[in-house]
Amino acid sequence: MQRLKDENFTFIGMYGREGDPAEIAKRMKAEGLAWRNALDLGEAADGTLWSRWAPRGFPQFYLLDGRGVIRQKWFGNPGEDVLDRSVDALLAEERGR
Amino acid sequence: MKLRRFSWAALLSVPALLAAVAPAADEREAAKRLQEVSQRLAEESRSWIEFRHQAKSDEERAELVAAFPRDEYARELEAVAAEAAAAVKGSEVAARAWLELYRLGCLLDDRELYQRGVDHLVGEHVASPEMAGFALELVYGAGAPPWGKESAAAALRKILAGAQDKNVRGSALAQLSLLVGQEEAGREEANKLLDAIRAEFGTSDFIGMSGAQFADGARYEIETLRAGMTAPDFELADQDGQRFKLSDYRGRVVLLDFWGFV
Repeated sequence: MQRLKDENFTFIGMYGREGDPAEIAKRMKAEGLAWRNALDLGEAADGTLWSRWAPRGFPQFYLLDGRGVIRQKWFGNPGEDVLDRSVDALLAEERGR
Repeated sequence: MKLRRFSWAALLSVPALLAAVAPAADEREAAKRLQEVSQRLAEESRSWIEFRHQAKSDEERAELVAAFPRDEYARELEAVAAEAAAAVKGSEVAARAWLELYRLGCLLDDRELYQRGVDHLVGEHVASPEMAGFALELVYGAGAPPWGKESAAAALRKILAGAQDKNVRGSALAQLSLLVGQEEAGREEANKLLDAIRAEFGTSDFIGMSGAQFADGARYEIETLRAGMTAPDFELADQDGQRFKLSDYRGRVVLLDFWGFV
């Protein structure tokens, strides 16, 4: 995903497990994970992640286009290659729009 | 609402097939050969995936796909399956060999290999309790290539029809409902499957929750989170405490990854 940092693309982690925000930030830094997460935990939790997205398990992926429309979804990890190619194809489509 | 916190991977019980005790000498022999072929295939696949990941163009990727010795592996796996099946009817070793063939088809985007593996599994091993894991694998991760959805749905319908084990039936109902529920055209079938889950597993344990809870969550997902629908917005804090909305990213391609440290 690093390769796409200059593209019109954003990777967002939806953090679905329990934990403490500061602890998650620390662990991500330690493991070199640089993406932004939407956290629904701790004092600020309102259950949005669970009530509106009802994830069936982890990991699960949703690919959204520039209008916020769901284009593809995956249960489990389909592999980096599949995700990369799907993102590339959608970026190409958006450039042609 | 703190529900549904399981990892898909935890449900994949298929590798247990490898550990199956083989009663006949010939089947034991086949099991040994299968283990050897599987190991070689796993190593070759790993380094191949690494190469493919570094490929710069579709042409380079296509060359790599063509260079994979798929026919040799397919022949070896089929020979092992035939040997095991001749020794023991419905041999788990044979099932494991067909599973490897199906996975090889997924890896190489080879529909023919995928289909051959799937056909043998649902044709000859549908009564096996291991079909519960296979049902999941058909819609999960690398086992669920985008071009395989119709085949996977057909296979899941056959597993459902032939299941002799309650676990297998539950798994096939769940996975088929989620798979066909991804498309508008599959909504009716998906909702019928969810009704069956409610009726048969309503209060019993069903993938870490009750069948009724599963069905409610799945119905919500089918009605609200299909491809082609606008994603629901959220406003949440990030790991640095900054609040942001999904809609802040309108105009950009976004990949949402539901994840967590284990």
